[in-house]
This record gives sequence, structure tokens and C-alpha cells, in this order.
Amino acid sequence: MIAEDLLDLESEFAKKYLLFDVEQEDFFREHTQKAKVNTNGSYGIFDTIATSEILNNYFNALVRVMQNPKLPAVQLGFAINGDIVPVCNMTKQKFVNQVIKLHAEGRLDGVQDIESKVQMLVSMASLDKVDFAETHTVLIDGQKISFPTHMLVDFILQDHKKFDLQDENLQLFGYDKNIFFYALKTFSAEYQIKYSFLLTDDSKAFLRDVVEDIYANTVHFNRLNQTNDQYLLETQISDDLRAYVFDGMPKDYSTLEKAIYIYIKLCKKLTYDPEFYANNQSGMVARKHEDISRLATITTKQTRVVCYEFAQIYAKFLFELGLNYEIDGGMSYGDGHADLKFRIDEFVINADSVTQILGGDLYNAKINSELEGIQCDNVHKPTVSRFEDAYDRVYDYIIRTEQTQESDESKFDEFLDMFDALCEKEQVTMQAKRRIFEKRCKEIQLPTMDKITYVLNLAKSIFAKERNKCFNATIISKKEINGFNISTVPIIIFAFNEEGFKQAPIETQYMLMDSNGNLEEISKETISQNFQLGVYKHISAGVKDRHTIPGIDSEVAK
Amino acid sequence: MINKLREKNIQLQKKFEQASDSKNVTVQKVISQLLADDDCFFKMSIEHAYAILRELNVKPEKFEKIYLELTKPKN
Repeated sequence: MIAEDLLDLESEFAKKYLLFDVEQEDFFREHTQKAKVNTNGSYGIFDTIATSEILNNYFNALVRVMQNPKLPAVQLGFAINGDIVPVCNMTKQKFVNQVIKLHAEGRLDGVQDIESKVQMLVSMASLDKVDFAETHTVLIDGQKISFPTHMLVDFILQDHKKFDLQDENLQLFGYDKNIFFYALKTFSAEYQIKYSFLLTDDSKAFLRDVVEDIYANTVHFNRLNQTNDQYLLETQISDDLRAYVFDGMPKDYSTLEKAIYIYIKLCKKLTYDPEFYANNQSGMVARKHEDISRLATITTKQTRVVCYEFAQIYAKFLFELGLNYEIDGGMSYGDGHADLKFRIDEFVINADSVTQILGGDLYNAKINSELEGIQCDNVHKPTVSRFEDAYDRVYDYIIRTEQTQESDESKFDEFLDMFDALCEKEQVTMQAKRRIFEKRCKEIQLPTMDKITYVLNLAKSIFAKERNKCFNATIISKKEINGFNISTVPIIIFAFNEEGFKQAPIETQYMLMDSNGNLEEISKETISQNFQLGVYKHISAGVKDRHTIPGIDSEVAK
Repeated sequence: MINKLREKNIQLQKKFEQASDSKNVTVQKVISQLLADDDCFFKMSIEHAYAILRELNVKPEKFEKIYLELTKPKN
């Protein structure tokens, strides 16, 4: 069977492929080279011998491929048992450029009618001579808009030079420039113009800029036009958390500013659950977080969350702002990491408070550091600047508001200093302090986490003078076995030493507050042994360095 | 309990004003600023707390009991 007969098959393959006789497989494999991979796939090169062979014996098929504006490459392959075996692709643009170059060098002189064939190829690879469909239709957020194709072609070739494309208010042919550029972008992608046609350097650069949204903002079109969140109805936010989030929000904020404000406020208040982290995000603790009804219990006092809980809470607020969003997570609620993406007008925004557990925005926001988890997907610089301006404005406002509140704190400290200057402090013995502390610890009835917080605050007041010298409190995790269940709970080890930890290390006494809030004495040996057995572990999640317990070998207590 | 201390503070302030005891008026005014914060006893050391109780004429033997009362968790 001769080569041209193969192309008369009129099959779908024949329309897309430049099919050669199977007997020529070795020949073409020898004279083509699969080359670099780019975003559109793997493209290679045909050498001079292969190019001559194609021009001599496969020209009709080549014309067919060249005339199909939706094929970006000359695809070389052969048919075997009804299947196509691709050998090598070369982009149309590269192929025609190569033909022009080889012809100029006289290396295609053996090809019949080479002059007219070159002219035909150049014509077919010229954007303004291609037989495109009359119009290019785009769907933009549910609205169909058709543009005459010649208008788009002319704009790529020369008309783009006639306008000030940096003008943010520019209208092109009666359309907002963002819409027009979206049409250009989709047209360019649909016909792979960058790879298929001979273009001037100016047009190539312009197209590159179009794709990179240099002149217009297009990434938001057709994205996040609806919300499909099966957990939305189950998501309940406590009144306390809601009141905190909206407290102080300026009434004249735009929706974008409101969304950023809520994100920052949540990051400032909520904390990553160290138990979840300590347990490697598995076990009983993980199951607790898989219960969506838990979201309603998150308050300004019960602030421990994990990534998908944060995402679900934030999503609920976004929904209430009337925004569409999607949560990108595992197969179901509680299955792996989750963050979310939402859209506000021309902005597509990613929100991920836990880009990393140690150092994500749940931490960054608390120290007023730059946030890394809230970013816009847009790449058009003026759009990105508008987003960043809103972010800066809101974050600055929150920080300034906090500083006003903090100044109340510093006023309190000033009054305390004044009091010190006027009156002598009372002396309270370590024994009395310990008695008061133990009494209070034993009497109070609070849920575990709240009790831990309360006890640590109380210890800060009672042992303010002795802290880290004669008194120390360290929260650690403890493995508890109950039947077949192994759970990890937070406990506190207190260390007391009237003489000072350094001065008389042997005198150090230890007490343990268990997960039920019970206080009891514990020996140094038992603590060390429990660390060695893995029953106790330091919790290193969060922002602070690992604490050490005075007198307990830090190597043991790793 | 903190309200009782506030009342005592106002009484003492008036008393010292009438006696033209400017130093103690200042002390009571400073204490009044500190007591304005409901959580003040969690924000100061026990040594400060006892000194305030002393300046409010609380008997030393009652310091511990009152301090325990003042540092009860709020429900």
C-alpha cells in the first residue's frame, strides 16, 4: 500500500495524523527525535531527511493537517491493527519554519515542486489566511458572547498596538477589556495559536502577555459560580464566636474587606489542636474532630480546631456574606487537609489557615506577622494590588484596634507600677503560696481544657516571683489505656523548689494535674520512667519551643 | 467580693480626702483604677494582691481566704 492510499482512509485518525506505511517505521524513528515536553505535551523534531520524505510523499496529508486550525502539530504515526502508533509530533509553526530554513539553504532541492509547496505551507501557517469559524463564542459567567474571529485575529496581528492596554477602564469593541481579553485567551488556547502559526516577535510577545493576564484580569470568569457544600446546613457557629468575629468590623467595609476581616479574626482567636497534632492526626482525637456538631462548641474560650474545621467555619461566614466557595478536602468531612477557595466579583481567593501546623496563619495572625494562607488566584497586577491593598487596610485596622485594647492593658501595668512606688508589696511564703494554689486547684470544677487554662493563669499570679526559678508548670501529653482504646490527654506537671531549681535540684518536688483536674504528688523517678516508656510526651505543636521540666533529663523527656 | 473591695475603696478615699491625707488618697485612687478591671487579681502577683488588701484595711488573717475568693473562676 502506498503512503497516499493510507490517507484516503478518511478515518478520524487520518484527519489528525500524518500516517505513514508501517514498513517505514524504522526510517521515521531514525529521522525524528522526540524532544522537550512543554505544557501542551511532547513535541519533537523531524530531520532534513524526514522532512523531505514528508514533503515528497505525504504532502496531501500534510495539507489536510495544516488546514485544520484545531491541530497544533504535525503528528507522525502509523496504523497497525486498527490502532495508531504515534512516532513524533512537531508543532506546525516549528515545522514550517524548518521547511523555510532548509529551503533557503538549498537542502530541500530534491523535493518536487518545492517552491510552490513552501509557499502553500507559509500561507496555511499565516494567521490571517486561515479559514476559522466566523465567530468565536465564549461563555462568561453564564452569558454567551460571540466575537467575529477576524477581529480577534487582527487584534493579535496588529490592532493591539492601537490601544492603551494598561488603561484599567478600557473598553474594546464595546466590551469591558477583561471580557475581550478572555475571548482572546480562549481563542488563542483553542487554536493553539502560539504553536500553530507563523507570528512576528511582537505578536508572540503580545500573546504571551495575554496568557499571563498582563493587560486584563480573566482568571475569575466562570469560576465558583455556585456552592455545593453538603455540610453547610450542619455547620453551626456559636453565638460567642460570631459576636467576637463581627466585633469592631467597620460598617462601611466592602464584601472583600469583610471576608478578609473574618479570616484574620478567626486566625487570631482559633488555635490548632495540639492533641490532634501530638496524636499524628489519628485515633480518638481525630474522631472527635470528625464530628461536625463539634463546630457549634467552638467559642472564644474553646478555640482548638483543625484545618477542615476552620475551613468549614469560615465557609459558613462566607455563605452568610452571599459568596460562593468550594472546600478542597478529602472525600468527606474530616478526611485529610482542607482549605477553601471563594470568589468575590473579580477576585478568586484561597484561604488556608494551616499551610503548615507550626507557622501557618493560626500562628502568624497572633503575632501580627504576614499571613500566607489568604491569597488571590488572580495574576493581573492591578487586580492583585487591589486585593493586597484591601488585605493591608484590614490587617492594619485589626492591629491598630488591638493596640488600643492593649493600651488598656498597659495602663493597668502603669497603675500597678504606681502602686509599687507608693506601697510596699506583701511578702508571701512559698509554703503559703503552695497551700493556696493546691487548695484552689482541688476546689475548682471546670472542663479539662478550661481548668488547665485557669490553673496556668492562677499559677502565673501566685508564683509570679518564683516562675522558672522555684516554680514551673509544663503541659505534656499522656497516653491513657482504657480497654482496647488508647487515648492521649493533656496533663500538667508542676515543679516546686523553695531553694531554687538550680541551687538545690535534689529538693525539687513534683505534682501532677491529671486530665480530670485531680492534683497529686508524683516522684521524679515516675515522671522520668513515664517519659522513657512513652506514656508521657512533650507537646511541641504550636508556637513555643518545647518546655522542659526542671530536674527531668531533657534527653529522657524527648 | 470585688464589689465589696470597691465599696471599701470609695469609703477610704473619702476618709483620706477629709483628713487631707494626700498620699493615701493617691493610693486609694490607684487601687480604684486597678479594681476597675474585673480580672485584676489574675493580672497581678499575689504579693500585689495582698498589699492591696492591706491598704483596704483587710485583716492579714483574712488575706488568704479573700484571695481564694477573688481568684475563683467565673462561670
